[in-house]
Amino acid sequence: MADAQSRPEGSRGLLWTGVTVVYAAIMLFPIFWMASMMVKPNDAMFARPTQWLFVPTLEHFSYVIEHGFHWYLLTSFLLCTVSTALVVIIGTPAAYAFARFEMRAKDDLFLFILASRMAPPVCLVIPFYLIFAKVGLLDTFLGLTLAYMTFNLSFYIWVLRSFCRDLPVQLEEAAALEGWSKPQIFRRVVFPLLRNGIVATAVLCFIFAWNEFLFAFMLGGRAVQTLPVSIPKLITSQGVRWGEMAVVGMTALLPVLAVVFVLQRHIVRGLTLGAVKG
Amino acid sequence: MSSIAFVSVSKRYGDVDAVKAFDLSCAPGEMLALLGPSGCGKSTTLKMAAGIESVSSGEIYFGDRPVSGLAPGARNIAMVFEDYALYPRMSVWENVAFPLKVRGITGQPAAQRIGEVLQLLGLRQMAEQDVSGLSGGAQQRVAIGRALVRDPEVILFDEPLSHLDADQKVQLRAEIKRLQKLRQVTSILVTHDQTEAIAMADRVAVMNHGVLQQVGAPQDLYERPANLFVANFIGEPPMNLMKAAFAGGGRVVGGGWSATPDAARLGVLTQGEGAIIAGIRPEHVAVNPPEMPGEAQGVIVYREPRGDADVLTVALGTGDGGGEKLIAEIPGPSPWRAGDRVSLGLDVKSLLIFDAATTRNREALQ
Repeated sequence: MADAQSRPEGSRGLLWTGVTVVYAAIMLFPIFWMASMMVKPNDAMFARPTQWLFVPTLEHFSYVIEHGFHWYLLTSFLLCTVSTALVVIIGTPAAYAFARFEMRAKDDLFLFILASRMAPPVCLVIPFYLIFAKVGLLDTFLGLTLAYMTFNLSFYIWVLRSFCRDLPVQLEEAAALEGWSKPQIFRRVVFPLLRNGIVATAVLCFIFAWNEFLFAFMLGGRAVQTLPVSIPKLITSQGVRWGEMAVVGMTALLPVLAVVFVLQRHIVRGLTLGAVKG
Repeated sequence: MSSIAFVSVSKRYGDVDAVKAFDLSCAPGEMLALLGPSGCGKSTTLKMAAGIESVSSGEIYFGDRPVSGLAPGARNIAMVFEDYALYPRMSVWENVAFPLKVRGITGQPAAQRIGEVLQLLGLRQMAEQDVSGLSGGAQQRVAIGRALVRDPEVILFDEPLSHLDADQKVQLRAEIKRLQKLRQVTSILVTHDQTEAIAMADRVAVMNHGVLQQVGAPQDLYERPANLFVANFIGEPPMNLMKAAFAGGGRVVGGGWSATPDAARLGVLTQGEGAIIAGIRPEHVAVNPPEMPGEAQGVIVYREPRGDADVLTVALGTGDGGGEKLIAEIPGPSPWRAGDRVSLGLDVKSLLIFDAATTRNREALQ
């Protein structure tokens, strides 16, 4: 099926291939441009007419390293990993509980969980700032982790609950009849079936956190600076450092691409929701 | 093997009574069917026996052991589910091996038992296949294998055949019954399909609105339904139920018909006050040419040929639509067509009398 579609016959196929190539070229051009800017000398950056050929330079890379941008990359990476891991650890049992257990005012609670995403982030950042200032979480790694968790956790629980509801409850009942306890059933029956859903949802949470600017900018301060927050530093009093910006931007792009590429199988299976049904 | 007894078991969800004061026992090695329309509480009853649902009040005994406080795993029961509930991404063998593995039985003793069970169910050749690729019937056979492999005291079947194609249904029905008799496992079968219940079970318990209506051998339910619900629920096409009254001389008179039951039964039938409803099964209505004497005269309004039988709907009286409609099932193909005038012979021995107010069969025991 897939083979037949990827190799249609005759001139129609050729036409489609052409359209696809053009489309891909349009989509990829900005990324190609950014990549070329990484190694473009400053005087060729905005030359008219455009200089397609130039002697590549590594000066932008050395500037970025000299000014410690790799530390921002590390901060971003740690922050996103830790907050996403916590979201998975806390959110998976929560989503399962919402899907399976009877509790008082379940629907109200479930809606309340979404409340943190009901207002635009910019409305929430001020109360966050005031609260964090009071309790001393401003400019701390912990504070930013908590902030990221609040909005990712609600998303995660909402999405994962539907994965949980798609699991046939009889599987758990059958395992209970074999004498397994609830935690054993969760770990050995539910978790393996949920794995694709967990991976897919966690990747989305990671990407949200990775690209987040506003909260990192407002709550991280000088002490905790993430990669998106570091980019404005390249707008200096001597002008905008375009080459360095391209280097940082590309660096921010790659981990996301890598994660999606490596986990593609899980993500597609997870997002189609059909992985569990036999 | 052990018996099962429900002693005034109830289940409440908030304000809803799903099961009310349920009393029932099932002898060792017996197969009992819980039959009823959806929402009648039969599955809840089964789940309480399994321990998946808790009991609101009352007690369930396996043998003389009360089990309502025990976890599902401590009850030594197995369950076969409507949608098989096999572990995906495991082979047939691994699925059947699972209950043994959980109990720490592995190696040669396990392999031998699994082999036996697979042999019994004709699953030997597909032992290594992934279960998700199998047909519904094969998947359910694997689930039955998983239930049998550890010799449980009780097997609970929760609508095991409802997702299967007609031919697989008939095949597996016979197979379940054969295995159950072979292994002498006490079993409860939940179903909404009376054919299934009657074909597989030694006794059938009919439930409605969380209340047990009647328990008995299939033939008993058929011939002596305890009330209008059972009379109407068991049998296809359903029993004719008609408003009636006693006239002089022990005659029962309805809209366009009258019949006289045996004098011997009259004593019981006429006991009680108030309106009555008379019931007669379609196959106990004989259809004759109009000049013959009969309990009713009428006009055929509809004929449903079923190959070996014809199901005729007859409007009593002159056929102007004023009288009752009666359904007759006669050997087919018959010469009768819609519009024919006929004389109906009601088999008075099989005429049942129900109290309209209590819906109870006046001849029901107790």
